[in-house]
Amino acid sequence: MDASDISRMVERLEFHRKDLEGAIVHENRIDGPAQYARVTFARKYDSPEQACRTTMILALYVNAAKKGVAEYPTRGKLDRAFLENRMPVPRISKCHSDTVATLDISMQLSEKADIATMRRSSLLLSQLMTEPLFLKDPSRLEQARDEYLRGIERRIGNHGVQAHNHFFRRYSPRIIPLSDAEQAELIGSVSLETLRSEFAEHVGAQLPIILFSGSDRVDDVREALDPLVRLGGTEDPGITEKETKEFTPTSPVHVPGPSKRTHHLRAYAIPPPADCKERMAQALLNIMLGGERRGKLLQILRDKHHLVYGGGSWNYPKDGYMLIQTSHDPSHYDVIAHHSDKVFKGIAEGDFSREWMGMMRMAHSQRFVANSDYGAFMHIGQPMFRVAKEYLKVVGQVSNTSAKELHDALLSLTYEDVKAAAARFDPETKQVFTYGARP
Amino acid sequence: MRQSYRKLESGLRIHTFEMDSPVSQYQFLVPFGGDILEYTDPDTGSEIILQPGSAHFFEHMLFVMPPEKEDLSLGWTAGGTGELREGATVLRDNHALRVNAYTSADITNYWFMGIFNNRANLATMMEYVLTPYLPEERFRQEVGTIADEIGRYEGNPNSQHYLQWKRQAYSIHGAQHFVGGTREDIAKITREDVLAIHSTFYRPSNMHLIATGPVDIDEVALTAEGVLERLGKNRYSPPPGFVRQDEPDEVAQPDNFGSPLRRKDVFRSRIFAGWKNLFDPSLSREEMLMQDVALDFARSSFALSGSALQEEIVRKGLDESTLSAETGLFRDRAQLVVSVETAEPEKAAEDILCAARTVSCGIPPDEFEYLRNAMLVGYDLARNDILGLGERFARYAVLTGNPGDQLAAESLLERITADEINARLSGMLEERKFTVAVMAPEE
Repeated sequence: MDASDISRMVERLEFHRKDLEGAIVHENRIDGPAQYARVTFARKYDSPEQACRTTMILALYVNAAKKGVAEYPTRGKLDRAFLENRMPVPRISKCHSDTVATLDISMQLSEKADIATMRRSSLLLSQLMTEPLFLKDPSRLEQARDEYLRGIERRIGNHGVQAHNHFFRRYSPRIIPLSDAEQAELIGSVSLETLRSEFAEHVGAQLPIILFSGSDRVDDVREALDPLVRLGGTEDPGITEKETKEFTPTSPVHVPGPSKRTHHLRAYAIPPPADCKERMAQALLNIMLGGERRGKLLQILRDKHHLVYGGGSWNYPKDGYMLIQTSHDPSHYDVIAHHSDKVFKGIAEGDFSREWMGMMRMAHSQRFVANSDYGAFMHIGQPMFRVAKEYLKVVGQVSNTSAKELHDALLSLTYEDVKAAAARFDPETKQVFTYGARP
Repeated sequence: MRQSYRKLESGLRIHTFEMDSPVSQYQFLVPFGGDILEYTDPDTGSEIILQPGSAHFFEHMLFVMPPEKEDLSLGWTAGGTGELREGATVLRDNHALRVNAYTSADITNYWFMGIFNNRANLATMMEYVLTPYLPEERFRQEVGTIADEIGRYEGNPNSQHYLQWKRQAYSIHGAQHFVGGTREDIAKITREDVLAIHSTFYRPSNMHLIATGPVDIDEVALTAEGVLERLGKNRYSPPPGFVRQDEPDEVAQPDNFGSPLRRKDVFRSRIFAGWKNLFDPSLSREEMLMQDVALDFARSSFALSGSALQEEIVRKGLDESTLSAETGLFRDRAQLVVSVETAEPEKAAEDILCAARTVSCGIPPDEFEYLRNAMLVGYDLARNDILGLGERFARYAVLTGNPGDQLAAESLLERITADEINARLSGMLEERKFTVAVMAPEE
């Protein structure tokens, strides 16, 4: 097996759009015992704040709706309706990305849960979304509201996530448009009427998008999902790649938090990629920096100086920066800051060998066919993996480019291309942000 | 999934599970983890006492490899010149996709996943696991990395809460400690201690090699035999016996209502309420499978959405959104811990005990069928995560010596009767084995 085998495997990520009655369908027809479908109700809003607000309303609505419908009047009885027939409980999730809010319903089919099962699930889910008991019994809404508010409170114990959220709130507000306090205020005050109308408006506005990977005929899948499809509207949601924002750092910021450790973020300015090739060069440079365990960051901080157990880097090309995050004893701040800056500068100056870059490119190439980006460690042979990848393209606004094109661009990068992309980084323009214990 | 098994002359047991996947996982494990803090060296008869965290420290150290030119077959050399290598980096540089190891209560498991060069990487992994290379200076440096790992653990409220529960449950057993130890513990660990661990527990006859994915047992065995021969470890040396711990059946402390664990980073009180159960480590394979399935029925009764008991305790006022239950099954013990956020820890604990009395009286037939189906769905879904599946194979390698028993447990679940399960439940849920750990906001 060699790199060309990875290229051939990546071809299995190709989906084809087919517009069927009342839905936009992206189909990936591959034989296998497992199949996976996701129905997405996506809508663009005027601002990230509005999209975030809608997402929270969708979440509260769904959580309250899961408290029961007439036939199955508790959450337990609803789940039981799926599970006693050996049918996994469909996953209902929501997210917002920039100005787009989505409600996603995912179903896994197997030899034991076939397309007829999907039809029954769709019917029940449609009932859950249109006739939940909470619309007539406000105590169920209040219970869901209380659970949501407690969930916001509980975030205080997840220090790494808190650090990220505080950072994004200041420097990429479209990622976290509302603070915890604003979120709590919204959830605490939203009325039943607003909840009902905004949910209906969101779901009924646009054509639902169906992403399907498996062996069944896509027309049969559309038919099985009909009760859900009927809830949607008629307009194409017209989702496009998000716009690039300018990164404007300030002086260093510290946000106190109830942690004995310093959660340490350093964001370095990078330019918007000019094309697909530069985009992949930046993605590769992030892997070389700290996106992988053998990136320079942990080679220095962990393997050489034994200062941290973990840490990493993330690439935000649409927000104009590359982010290094570590968490450590406050007394290590100065030395970790020094090494982090030095590592980023080294990458920007092209201080890496041709051979090492080639190895890291191979590592990144393999991530196209197997990774744990979606929670579990999955691979391209699994329909859930393929759908998750396509979702990023169709709904996630990350890129409209296909996986194959991105992979081809990655493989075409020369050492000189990657060095040229690195040279456009700006190590001196950075934001230093700490959360938790003051360094 | 096609299973194959082979035992090499050295006693190393190789298990392969052929699966349709572009990625393979190789696990090389020893049934020795943080639980064992005292044992008798089978060769010398001397008593070895370990600091908590020793097994985990050793796991970190085994990744250290000598400079390239040094011959690994020389064994425990600590001299040498040139730069030390790090095993995981060597594998990654040879295109392994993921490389790691973990130490838990009763296992230390070294693994990697890869698409390319798997045989060469398997050989390298076996080399660094079987040949400890511990220069004193490098040994001391690792304290920094592990202290940071401990700091991460201390910063996690749930981890600290669980540790509090274990401290209340166990009075002698090594399970009462964090697997990684404390900063003070790890500063006291010596090179001699961990080398003694290696000579006793890291014998091929005490280890398993599990390969999952597009794998061939002949190729895996050939590679493993080659490494063992090169390292001079291809002769059989008997494995150590199971280290028994004289833990009493009763919990060490029934609750901490009077002095809850308090933290600044929690907003509301939460309880971990659960049972420990000790049993004879020489339990038969069949009985271990039964224990596993019965434990899962008990867990599902308490916390599976839709179970009659869960509905009942939610009706009584326990919070549906935070109610959960976890199990742990080991050679000599089992745990079932129910967790929920509550403003009234004592009442919540009483509700859980009351529910346990209901479970002890037996799960009714209809309910039994529901739980069975829901658990089977859970098994199906869990197969989506190939790392998780590998971990469950490794768990059974420790429990019964056969990772394939994970699949046997799933088959047993399909055919087991309510009577067989109910006969085991009452013994699992006795009040004297029950302890409640409260974690509350700092006042």
